[in-house]
This record gives sequence, structure tokens and C-alpha cells, in this order.
Amino acid sequence: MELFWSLVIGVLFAAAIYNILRRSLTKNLFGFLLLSHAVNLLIFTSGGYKRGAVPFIKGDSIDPSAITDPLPQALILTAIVIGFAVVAFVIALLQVFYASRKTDDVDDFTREEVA
Amino acid sequence: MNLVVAPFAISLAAAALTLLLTEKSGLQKALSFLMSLLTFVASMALVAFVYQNGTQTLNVGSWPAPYGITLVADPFSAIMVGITGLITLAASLYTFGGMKLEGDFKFFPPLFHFMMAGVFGSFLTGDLFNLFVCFELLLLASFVLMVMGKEKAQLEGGLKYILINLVSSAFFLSALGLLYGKVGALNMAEIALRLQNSPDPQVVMITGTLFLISFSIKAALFPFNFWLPSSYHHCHPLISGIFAGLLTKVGIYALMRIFPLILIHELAYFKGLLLVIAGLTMVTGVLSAATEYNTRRILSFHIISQLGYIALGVAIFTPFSIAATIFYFIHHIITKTNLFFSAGLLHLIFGHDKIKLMGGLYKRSLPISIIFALSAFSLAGMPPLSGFFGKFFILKAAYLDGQWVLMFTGIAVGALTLFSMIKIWNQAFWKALPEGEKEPEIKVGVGPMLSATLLAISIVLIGIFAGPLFDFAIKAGDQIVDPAAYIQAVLGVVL
Repeated sequence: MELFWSLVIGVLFAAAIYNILRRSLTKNLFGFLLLSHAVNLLIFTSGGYKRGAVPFIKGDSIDPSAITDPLPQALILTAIVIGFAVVAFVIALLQVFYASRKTDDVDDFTREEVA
Repeated sequence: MNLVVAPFAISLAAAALTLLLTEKSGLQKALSFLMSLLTFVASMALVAFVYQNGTQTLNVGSWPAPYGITLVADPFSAIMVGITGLITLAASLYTFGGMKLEGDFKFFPPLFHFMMAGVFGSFLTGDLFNLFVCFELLLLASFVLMVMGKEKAQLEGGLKYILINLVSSAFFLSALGLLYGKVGALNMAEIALRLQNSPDPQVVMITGTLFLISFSIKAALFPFNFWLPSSYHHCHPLISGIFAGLLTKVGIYALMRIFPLILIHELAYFKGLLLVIAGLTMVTGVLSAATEYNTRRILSFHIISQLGYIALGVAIFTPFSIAATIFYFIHHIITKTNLFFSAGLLHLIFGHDKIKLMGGLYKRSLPISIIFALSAFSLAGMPPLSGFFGKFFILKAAYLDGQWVLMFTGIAVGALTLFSMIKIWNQAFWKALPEGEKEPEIKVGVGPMLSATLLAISIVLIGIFAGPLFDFAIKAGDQIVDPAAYIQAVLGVVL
């Protein structure tokens, strides 16, 4: 199970990096969406996969080693919310950028003047 | 100890309150200033308290330490919080006459306070995940501040800044996930304890490198520094001043926290790497500045070269070098902010940043000349200003560690910094105004003058009281290099 998801994470990272390195800003944005999914899955996987028991513990009724650590899932939830806010802002910014420049190609960025 | 959360909580409250007053700009400005004053008082109170009583901790919601959210104010955190408080006050002062709160800028006060909450949170948090959350808080606010005004060049610079920071956050989060998976803790003291007992070289190398990359991007260390000079000089002078003073320093701060936690277990590798990074950061920054003729772009490149000194101090990692680094933080944040504020004064007078088209300011306004000269010479490391002691301690640490090459690099970079500062001085202050340029009116508001003066006085005072300040820095440095006291304060475990 872990091996399969590790491979999926690897593929997601590869796709994300490929998209981030492209010239179109919109595709960069897709790259970032994939990147955040890859990272979230990475945290999820590093928490370990265990099936069966739920992590509600009453006294000593459940052996803690039998359940999945719920903390990584809480971390992912926070990361998803933050990622959502950032992506929403970037989309808005890209829209303003496109309205003023009529391009989303990074090659059309102006060079910094030296003088 | 509830005082620990005060600067963070006050900033959040200030952000919420000023957000309600976006339509009443006068009231909003006054309230923002009052809250900044309160933040300043709270952070200074924290410094004084930690100075007298040592490390303070607060377990939020009374959840016990390794499991709940812990806020920790050790001497290093307290020092950083203190300077941030001062910058908050100076920045709020600058808005009176330095910034019209209309259009996009109606939202400057709430965003500014949100960003400060993020900065305070990063300095005070005791666990890595909250460090990430506070980073994101300050980044998100800074994204908006960066593009405020929505000019074309700003949007481009802002996009570069945002995209690189998203990559950096992804690295941070990956490192966090892997570390938690292997070590099973997020509390920094707990991680230190567990890794000390069984340092797994695989975990240390992988997460250490990921953290190093992430924080290097945020701190604009070589080779991840190119985003900084292409974004910082496009936004409002006040905003770029705050960014220049604080944001990159949060990255280095995090690096310093992570060093005794994780990197220390593969010291030879990470120290060598950081030393090279530090040297190249110093040199590339200062050389790139040499060809520039735009005040804030020159200063942006100098942020990078100064970060090289800080990275050098971190890399050597002896109690003395860490103390020197902490002292350098105090000097650098204030000096750099003030240089950007002076550049803001020039911007208010001339309406642009191009020093070739400026001139004759020395004859026209002595106070501005003195303010700029003090900060510029402090940056270059002239005695008796703060920069001299900052550079001296760092270079002495390098000497004591036998890093001869880097010590001489540091001296040479200092000389080149002086060259850059003299270039601005000659062009803007000494030379006559170029033919065909309209004689500008010297009309800067009370606020910008006052805040620049406040910081200039601080620079002189830090130079004069370098001794006692450095003693406190040594206390803070000892705790960074030997985390036993920190662990004891947070977890109550005696090593």
C-alpha cells in the first residue's frame, strides 16, 4: 500500500515540476495545485496506513499501535485550507495580470532596466 | 505566562479592528497607530521579562507540552520580538504623511497587522507546524501588500515572489511530513530530544536538506536569491521597507532554529554547505548592486549580501558566532528598514528612485542627509555605529573558527558596500541637480521624518550600548547552541 502511494506521489511531483517549469502562468498554477496534492499525500502516507480501528480511544480499550495516527490528517486539513486561500489569491492575481498585460507567457515579462 | 502571546494577539486584534474602519481612513490610521504602540509596549515588556526571568512558555489551552500548541519565548525569540515591535511602531508612524489610505491602500492597516501577527507567531511558536502556519499567514498578507496598487511592474514582481514562495512552502511541508512520520513529534523541544537519543542519518539528511532549501528560498540565500531584487523595489516604499527589514530574516530565524534541532547531527556536511552558500551570497549580492542606479534596487541587492554575513554566523555555529549573528539581526533589521525608509523619503521628494536624475539634496535638507548617512555608514560597518559591531563580531567568529577566506571576503564585501552607499550619496546628495530636472519641493510628511529619525537614533544607540546588548545576545546564543535549557523550559525534562 505504502509503495503504491509512494509511486503516485512521485508521479504527482514529476507532473507538478514539469508544469511549474513551463512558460504559461496558468500552467504554472496547475503545477502548484498538483504540488500541493503531492505534498498532502506525502504527509498522509508518512502517517502510515492501517485499516480497521478508528482513533477514538476510551481508557485503554484500543492498542494505540493498531490505529492510524490521526495527526497527519489534521495537518493535511490545515494545509488544504491554506493552499485553497493561496490558490484563490493567485487566480485573482493572474486575472488582473492578464487584464493589464494581455499575456500569460513569462517570456513577455519586461527585463529589469539597469540604469 | 500570558505575556508570551500578547504581541501576536494584539496584532490579530488590530487587524480585525482596522478592517472594520476601511471607510474612515483618518480613524483607521489613528487606531492602527495606537494598536502598533500597544504591540511595541507588549513586545518590549516581553523582552524585559525574559531578560530578567529567562525562558517563558505558554501551553495554549493547557494542553501539555509535546501534544498541544506551545508558545516559547527564549532570549533569542524575545530579542526578535522586541525589534519587530520597534519596526511595527516605526512603520505605523510612517503612514502619517507617507501613505494615503485610499483605493487599494485602504486595506494596508489590516494586512500590515496580519503580517506582523505572522512574524510574531513565527518567532514565538514552539512547534514546527505552527511555524508553517505563521509563515503562511505572513506570506499571504505579504502577497497582497506586494501587489497593492496593481501597477504592471508590481504585478510581475509579485507573481515571481508568490510562485517561488509557493515552491518553498511545498518543500517545508514535505520536510515536516517526513520528519513527523519518522520522529513522531512536531514540538521542537521534543524533536530535539528524540533525535539526540537516536539520530537517524537518513532522516537528518533528507529533512535537513529540504528544510535548508525551503528556508534558503525564504531568506534569499544564494542560489535562491533572484526573486528578491526583482520584486522588492516595485511596491510602496513603506511596504518594501517592512519587507526588507523583516521577511527574509524570518527565513534565517527558522534556519537557526532548525540547525541545533536537525542539521547538527550531520554537522560537517551542513556546515560546509552553509559556509559556501554564505560566501557566495555575500559576494553575488554586493557585486550585483555595483551596476545598479535605482535606490531601492541597490538596497535590495545589499539585503542579499548582508544575509550572507548572517548565514556565515549561523554556519560556524559556536556560542560566540550565534551571539554575533543575533546581534547582527538587531543591527540589520533596523538599519535596513531605515535605509528603505530614507529611500522612501527620496521617493517622496523626487517622485522616483533613479539616482542619476537626483541631486543637490545635501544643500536642501540637512536632516534627511544625516538620517541617510547614519544608516548607510552603519550598513557599511563604520564605527561607532551598530553595523561596525555587527560585522566585527561576525568576522571575529570567522577568525576564531579559522575561516580565513570567508573573513577576508567579509571585509572586502564591507568595502564594496561602502562603495555602493557612497554612490547613492554622491548622486542624490552631493552632485548638483542634473540639467533639465525640475527643482523638487522638500515636502515630506511628519510621519516619515519621525519614523526615520526614530530608527536612526536606534542605530546610534545600538552602537553605543553594544556591550550590554551583546551580553544578552551571548545569553541567547548559548541557549541555541546547547538546547538543554530550552528543552527543560518546554518539557520540564532535565537532561
